[in-house]
Amino acid sequence: MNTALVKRDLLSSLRSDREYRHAWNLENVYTSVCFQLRALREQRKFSQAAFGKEANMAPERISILEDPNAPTKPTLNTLLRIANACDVGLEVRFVPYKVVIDRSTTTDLKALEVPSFDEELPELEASIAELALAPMPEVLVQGSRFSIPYFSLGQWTSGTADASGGVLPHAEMTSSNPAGIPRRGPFAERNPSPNQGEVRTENSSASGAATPLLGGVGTPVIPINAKTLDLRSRYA
Amino acid sequence: MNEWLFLDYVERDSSPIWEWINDKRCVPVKAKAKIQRILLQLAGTVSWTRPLASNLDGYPEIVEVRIRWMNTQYRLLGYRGPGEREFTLLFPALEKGDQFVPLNAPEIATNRMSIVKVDRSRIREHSFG
Repeated sequence: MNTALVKRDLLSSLRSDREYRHAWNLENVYTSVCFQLRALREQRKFSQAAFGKEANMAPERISILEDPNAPTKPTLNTLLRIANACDVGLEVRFVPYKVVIDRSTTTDLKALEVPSFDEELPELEASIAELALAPMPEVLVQGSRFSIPYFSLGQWTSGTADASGGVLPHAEMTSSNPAGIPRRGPFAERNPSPNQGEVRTENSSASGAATPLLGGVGTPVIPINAKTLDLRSRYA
Repeated sequence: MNEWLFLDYVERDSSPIWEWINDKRCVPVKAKAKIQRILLQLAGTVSWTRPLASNLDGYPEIVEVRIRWMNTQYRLLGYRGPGEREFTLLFPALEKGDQFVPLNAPEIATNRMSIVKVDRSRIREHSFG
């Protein structure tokens, strides 16, 4: 099956009908949960009965949770119990439709598997150790390279300050730009990602007050607000 | 999503499955979203399990995909073929009171399966749009 064609068809439907878009949102959530629950159970080689015991639920309940046709839908509390039984994280967040389409078309059960905390711990420790070793810049001026923590994703991003007062990221790898393709222009303006809340590049703070600039008079710089400065001091 | 390629049976250059799923009198928008999302999920699932999918008693090779929306029981009849890892949707039916609507839905599906088996021009890739 050609994933690009499926995405194109799906986008066509989502674009033309708001009601369908909202219905898809709903079905995507519940169908994904049902099948990911099955993927997690099978990954751990549990029967429904054994998994029910682990999650302190009746086996019939697990069967219902894995059935997308079941009239009752899992609550957040139920999902947390499942997450805890599997020792995996649970994330509930609003996302752009790009993410919905990507996840809708990632239906291989293997792709839905999640390692337990203990299984992922070595990799987690290594990635955090690498993050801690990355250097921090002193001042951000035009042409300078910068490196700032990308907290939401637990990774660093880097780039070059440009004359427009924005930044030209070198390797910004985000959920909406997995390839890390550089883009020009004010960072916050061109990259309206929910992940960049910690980094501001506009000339005003969230409250509308002027943002202090780092660098000399007449030098285009990346405006740094108090929040960013606080982060710099914490990670210096 | 590459375990199964979903195909639609074609008749007079048109897919009855596609027409059915896009006819709001037959399938409300919300039901269509559910049907398409579940089919997409099955496309990525190696082994389909009950109660979502099962072989139809008395009709060798015919598989029914069971999708419930509100109080309507949709039954998509198809078969695994004609190629490897292909699943052809043959006929859309409903189930009411343990009976298919229309009653001869399995016979129609079986007939269409025999056509598809000898003529690949009678199938085309299912659209998830």
